[in-house]
Amino acid sequence: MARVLPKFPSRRLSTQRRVARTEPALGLRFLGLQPRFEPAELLEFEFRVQRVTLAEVDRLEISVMWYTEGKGTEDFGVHLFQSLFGDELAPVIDGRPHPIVTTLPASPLSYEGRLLNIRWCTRLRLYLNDGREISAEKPFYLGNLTVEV
Amino acid sequence: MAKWVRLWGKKRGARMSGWWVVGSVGEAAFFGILFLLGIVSLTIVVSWQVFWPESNIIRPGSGFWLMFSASLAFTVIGLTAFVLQVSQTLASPERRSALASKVKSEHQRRSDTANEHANLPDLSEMTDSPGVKLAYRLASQRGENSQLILSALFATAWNSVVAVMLVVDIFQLTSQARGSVFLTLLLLPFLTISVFATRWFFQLFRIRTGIGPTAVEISTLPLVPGCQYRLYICQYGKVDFTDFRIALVAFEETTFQQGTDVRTEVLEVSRIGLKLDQTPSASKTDTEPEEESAENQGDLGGTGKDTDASNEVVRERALSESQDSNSDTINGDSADTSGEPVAKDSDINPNAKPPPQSQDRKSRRLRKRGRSKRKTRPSGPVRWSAEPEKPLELDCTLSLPGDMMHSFHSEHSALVWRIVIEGESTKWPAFCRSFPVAVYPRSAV
Repeated sequence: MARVLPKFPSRRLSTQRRVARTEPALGLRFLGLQPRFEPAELLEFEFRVQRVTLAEVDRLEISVMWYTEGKGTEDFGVHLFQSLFGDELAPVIDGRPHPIVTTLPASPLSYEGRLLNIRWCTRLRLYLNDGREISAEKPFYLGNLTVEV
Repeated sequence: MAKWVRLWGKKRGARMSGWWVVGSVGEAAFFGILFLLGIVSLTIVVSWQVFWPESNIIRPGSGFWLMFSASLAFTVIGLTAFVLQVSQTLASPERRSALASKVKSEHQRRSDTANEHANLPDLSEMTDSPGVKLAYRLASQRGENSQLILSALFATAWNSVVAVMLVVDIFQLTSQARGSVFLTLLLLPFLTISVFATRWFFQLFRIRTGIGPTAVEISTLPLVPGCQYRLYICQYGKVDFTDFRIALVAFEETTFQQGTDVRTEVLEVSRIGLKLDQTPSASKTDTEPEEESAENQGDLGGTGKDTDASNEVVRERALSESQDSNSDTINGDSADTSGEPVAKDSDINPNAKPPPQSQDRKSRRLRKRGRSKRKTRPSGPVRWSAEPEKPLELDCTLSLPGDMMHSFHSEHSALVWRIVIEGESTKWPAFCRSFPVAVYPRSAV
């Protein structure tokens, strides 16, 4: 389970404010044993949003995506994207896990090269009404290329 | 006391200090003002012309159209950048990408030539040319003739300038009592450059046309890891090769920003070689091709799983059917063929890694220098020959390892596979030609 805490401000908060304010937490977990999948395989994962009330949340975005890493400018492609806002948020902001299932595409496969790496991940972005943005990410491997070509 | 809002940020590695909203709002405001400026000026220019055509302030002509074009450009640039900036500020990168993908898939659904795999190379460009012996004839890498075209353009332009100057100078010398000394002196360096430019062009032209074109045909496309394919290579022209290498090579290409410059880096990351080690045989015929196995070479994915894969030249013959003369021509002088061809490290060692980047650059530089300045020709034995009426023909089998990476391209990065043909001849500088191919993952076919 990936748990990501939000970015804290550089200024120290007052003791009174620190006690009063609770930071939301996001959780992502694959339902399979290994974070490695084959193309056209079902990717099953669940997400959880905790320590936040419905009134504080503006919208929630769930995505399954690949991105490039390395010397070049980063590129990315989104395989699955869901944006929840308004009434759609009520069932998911309850602290319980919510499953998502998607069939993975045939390409691009995960790759580790010299100038270029291709990585896959599931990502959760929570936008709060006060303007803050919190995200959590859980990487996985698509295909069987474990080393560079 | 509240901290002042910092207007200018500082780059701290991958992140920026300061408040990003200030930058975004500032940029959006700038382009919004540009848009408004464009709209206002466009309205003034057009309405003035429509309602007061007798006015002399903005007359139709170059002044009017210049004002019109500038106003239109301000409007378009301002509006586009403003919308882009606002959308970038309000929507997450995933949302923007999802919207773009949706629009693209909708467009592809309507189009007949839809490419199902957005990050795999398009096959339509590779399969539009049928081959003579095999299914497809591969197109050579774009830009290989750019040096020749550049030299031709430069030589033509320079010689034109020199010709005009020469005519003027001759005219002045003949028509007047005293010609311009300065022009005559200036002509000397100009003529020298002209001679070198013309020589440069003819050198490149001779290399390009002397070795002759290379045709590569393949049995099917796209290539799929773990499968075997037939390759047919035909080398035209009049040339004797001391070394001739064929390989399937992977290159990583990335585009990145360095300061204010946009740079592209290309690096060879994998090589699957085919060894053309032929033993001369006078009895070699077309009907009974002498099969010679060649070891699978090159870095096949780092795991070395595909020990059974073998890329071998199954047949090599000339276009002409005359057997004896063919074998002599192809294999060269029989006395000379005992010498082993010089192979690169990556050709010999199946697990050899490509040289490091700096070494690779150095060798590329040396090779480049060798191409242009080398005076001594390779002194090895002639192993393959092509004549104008008897081109060199090679039939090969290419076995791909099962764990190789597929071709990939995105906006700033790519992994491309190319069939690379390299040769060294007795008469010409070393040459290297490449033919892009598409490798698809097994699950995508």
